[in-house]
Amino acid sequence: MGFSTDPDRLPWFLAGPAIGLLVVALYAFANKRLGVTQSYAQLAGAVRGRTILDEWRSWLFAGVAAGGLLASFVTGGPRLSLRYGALGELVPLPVLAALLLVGGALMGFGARWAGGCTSGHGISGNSGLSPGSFIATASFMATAVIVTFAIHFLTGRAL
Amino acid sequence: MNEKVVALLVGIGFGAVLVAARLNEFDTIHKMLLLQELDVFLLMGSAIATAAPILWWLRRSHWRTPSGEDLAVPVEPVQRKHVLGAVVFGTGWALTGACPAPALLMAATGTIMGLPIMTGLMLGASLCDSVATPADQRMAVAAGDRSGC
Repeated sequence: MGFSTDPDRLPWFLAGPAIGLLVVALYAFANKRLGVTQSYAQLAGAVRGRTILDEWRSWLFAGVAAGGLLASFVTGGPRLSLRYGALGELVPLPVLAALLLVGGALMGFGARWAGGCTSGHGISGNSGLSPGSFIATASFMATAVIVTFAIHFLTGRAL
Repeated sequence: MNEKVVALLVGIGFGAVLVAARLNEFDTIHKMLLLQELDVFLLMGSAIATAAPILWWLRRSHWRTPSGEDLAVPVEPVQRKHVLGAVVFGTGWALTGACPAPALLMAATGTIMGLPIMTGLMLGASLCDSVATPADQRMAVAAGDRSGC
């Protein structure tokens, strides 16, 4: 166990409290829980011609994308790339795309089922001291660590 | 300020901080889940440690939102879905090394492989909605989260 050695990375002790304040701001000024997954459900519904119920979610989603794009200019702006870290170096592109599609679908299904994801339960729900969020967070953290270690050993420690 | 403007501004801040902390990279989340780098755990922990006492105080002091409402911070009792849904979610999280906001941030910063994850997220979330029974949906709406299944 250790820490990132990337000097350009915003350290956790600044990033974490900043995110905490953003969670508070969204509650205090809009009375909403900061969570991203339902935006995907809503977007998928809109593609099929359904009405968007919570317009604020689309604004949050657009904001996240815009904020990420802005921050990327600190390190030279967005770069179009097919790279995908250590996973991208290990598996061919079509396999990677299929794997990511399936992984994304598991996340979408699971997060809707559980009523939140890493932001909705993991940060906002826990901040509201919700027992359901504590258990959901413990469950997805434990699962993800176990599956990651399984991947690590199945790939002969390449990942 | 209406809720859309607040959501947009909070979203901009959230996206910018996550990218600055490299959460838009597979290697960041993979090394976290391999317990090699503790940064993201501490990021989440310090976010909660910052927000929880302020939210507690806001509720205690009967903070009113700009539209005059009491704070609606959902406090859910533990249910089966919190474990089962989270196990499915955690599996996808480990496979992709991305969660829903990071997948969007990958796409926003030029990592094209964020797009299949986003497509999967939309498909999975809609599938969950379509298999939900009306009773599930009523319960979810009553709990205030519009959770699908």
